[in-house]
Amino acid sequence: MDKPADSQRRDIHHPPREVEPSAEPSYLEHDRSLKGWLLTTDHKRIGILYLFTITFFFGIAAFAAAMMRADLTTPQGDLVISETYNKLFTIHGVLMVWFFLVPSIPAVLGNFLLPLMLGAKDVAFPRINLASWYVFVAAGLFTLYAMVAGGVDTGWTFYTPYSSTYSNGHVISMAMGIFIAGFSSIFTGVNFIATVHKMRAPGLTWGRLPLFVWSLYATSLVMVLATPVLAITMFLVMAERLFGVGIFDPALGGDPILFQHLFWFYSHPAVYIMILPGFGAISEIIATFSRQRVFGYSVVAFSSLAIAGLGFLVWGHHMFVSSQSVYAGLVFSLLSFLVAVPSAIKVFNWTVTMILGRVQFTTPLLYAVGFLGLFTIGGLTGLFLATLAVDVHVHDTYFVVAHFHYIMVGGMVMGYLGGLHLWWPKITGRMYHEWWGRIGATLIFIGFNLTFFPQFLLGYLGMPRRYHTYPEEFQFLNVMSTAGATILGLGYMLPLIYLIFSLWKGEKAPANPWRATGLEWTTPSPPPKHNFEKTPVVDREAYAYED
Amino acid sequence: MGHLSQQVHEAYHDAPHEKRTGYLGMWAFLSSEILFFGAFFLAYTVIRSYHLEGFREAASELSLFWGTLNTAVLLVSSYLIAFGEKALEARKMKAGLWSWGCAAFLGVVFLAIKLYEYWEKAHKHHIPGLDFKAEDFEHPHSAELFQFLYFSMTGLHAFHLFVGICWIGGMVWWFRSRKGRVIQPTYVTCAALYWHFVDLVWVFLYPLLYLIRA
Repeated sequence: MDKPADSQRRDIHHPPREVEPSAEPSYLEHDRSLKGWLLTTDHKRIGILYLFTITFFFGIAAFAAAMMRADLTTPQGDLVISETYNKLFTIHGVLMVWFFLVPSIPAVLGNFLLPLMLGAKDVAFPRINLASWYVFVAAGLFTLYAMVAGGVDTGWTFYTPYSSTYSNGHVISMAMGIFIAGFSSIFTGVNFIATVHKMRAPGLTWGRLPLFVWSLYATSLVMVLATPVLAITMFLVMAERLFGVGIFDPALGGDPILFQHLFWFYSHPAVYIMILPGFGAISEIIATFSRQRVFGYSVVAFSSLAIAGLGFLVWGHHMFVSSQSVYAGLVFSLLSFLVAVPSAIKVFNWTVTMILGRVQFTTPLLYAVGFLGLFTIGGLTGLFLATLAVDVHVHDTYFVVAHFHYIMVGGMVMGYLGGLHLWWPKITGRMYHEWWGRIGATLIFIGFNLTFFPQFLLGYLGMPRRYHTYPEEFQFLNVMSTAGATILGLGYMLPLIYLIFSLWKGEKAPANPWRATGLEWTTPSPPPKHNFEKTPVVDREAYAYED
Repeated sequence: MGHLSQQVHEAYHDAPHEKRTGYLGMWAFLSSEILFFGAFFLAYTVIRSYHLEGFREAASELSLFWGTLNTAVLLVSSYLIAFGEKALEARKMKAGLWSWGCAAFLGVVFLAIKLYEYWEKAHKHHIPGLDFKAEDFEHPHSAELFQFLYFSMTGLHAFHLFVGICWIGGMVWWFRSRKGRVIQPTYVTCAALYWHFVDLVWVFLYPLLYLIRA
């Protein structure tokens, strides 16, 4: 699959690019006024705006999770009443999925890095990029309003007819928030697709693109093609509440299963919106700290596209017990297994890359190694769930909860935090404290496993998800899980503290602290407003490590 | 009157680069729009399969005359947009702006006819959810579902058309106000693409809502 060895070898022996000191002020110093930030069309500043926004949402969503875990330490759930509990898991799910996981890597790291990695001055449509942030904030306000005004207890999946008929009226406001957030996602996707196609520096062929760019590209395709379906689904739920027409309500002649089809047609691919950028970040981290070109570069690149494509064909595995036909179930089961193939290819190739290279166990690499372990567990348990018969047993139990947290938190959040650490010197111009970084990564890994591994057992033993109380015999595992969540919470606090601390006290970062090969490292840290003094010309492959 | 020219924004290498980037972005956006309407088409298909009789009954209530006239109006406007785009590219500014102006006007005509149809329905109390007059139909519930889909699908289309009218009308106004100054050709083609897309959606809505009847 790779290019002939000769041409590669010639490429690899290039000396590292020299970084010329910039005469221009950095993007942070360029215009310090509030207007300079709020009306900026600079992709780097927009990335920072997103960083603040999603960190805020992550905080609220994590708080809701902490409340739930605290509540579940006792079988009776003494902390909150069941109604509040339902509102807590809804707000946790809605904020985490639409306001943290979906935008995290694409909107923060992607916005910041994509043009830098392509050697471009900006994304293809800078003003649309800024608009996407405003749309995102507006969406967040709708959702927060629903939360403050009384909360919603439907769960993040809004299953009908409960959400469309019986739940309280704040469903409309929250659905509106999600509807609007979708447009932000579509704007980002359209922008990235055009940027990757058209804004590449001379010589930067598709075969030389960093894998992070490939993964953002695949993600953008999914964003553009899946999100609008969700928007209409949310619209139909809102309309059904307002007018009582009965598209989804069986009592009025509608079909609740139609809702599930429409919802999962978006929401399964959305899992890949969340995880694919994580894959990209992990590829960069592993290549950088193994000092090694990624083994099977083109296979890793194409597996992202394969996952994006297959992701559209597997939504029915959320509906095995929904009375869909057994033949549909069989097909969806088979297709779901297929997604494991490109995913496994990636894991194998990352592993081989590390084996071939000389590994430095820095903070980002610890996150990447953690990612490999957690994603593998999450992926393999996904196969359990894709198996028709097994799924009937563990459907809607904590097994499912554990599985998707292993994928989305274990995979995506580890990728995000790893990527944030890898590019932190580039973004801020400051180095974080390496020792604290390692402690943080380790704590998160331990805390995460202690939180979610017991949930596999709970689910296998039959504890249903979304329940506020449980039989006594499940208490031990639940207490373990809550203890893990405490460690995990502490682990998340650490990066928040030492990364902010680094802004004042951190060492000044050189242009290329990790001696990495990407184009983004050939410009000063933090980069000047227009990224590069002169447009770089690329004459070698993405991971040309010479030592 | 302005004119089309090759002035390039700083982010792009040259004019063809800017043009191709703009087109790609527009096509990516339109592909997302197709799925936006696609969810409605799926919902329509599924609900129709449950409520065949009621859908036929309610569809025959729609005015074939107004629907057909509207289709004709939109198709002519699409022609005018295409003609105007070519004229502008050939720097025949007057012809281009006139045909775009007329196309935007036809868009307004379409919306006026649509509003008249809505008004007629409101008059007969056929708007779902608001004092819906069930006794007019043999299958009142199915008919209400049809009416709901009719209003939301044509409503979403009308909203898109409204955006298109503002866009095309704004372009015409902008051209005239930028006397002698340049205008990116990308903007012209993207506006035209959008207008054609909105017309295309109607070409699917018209048979689905008006033509399949008892």
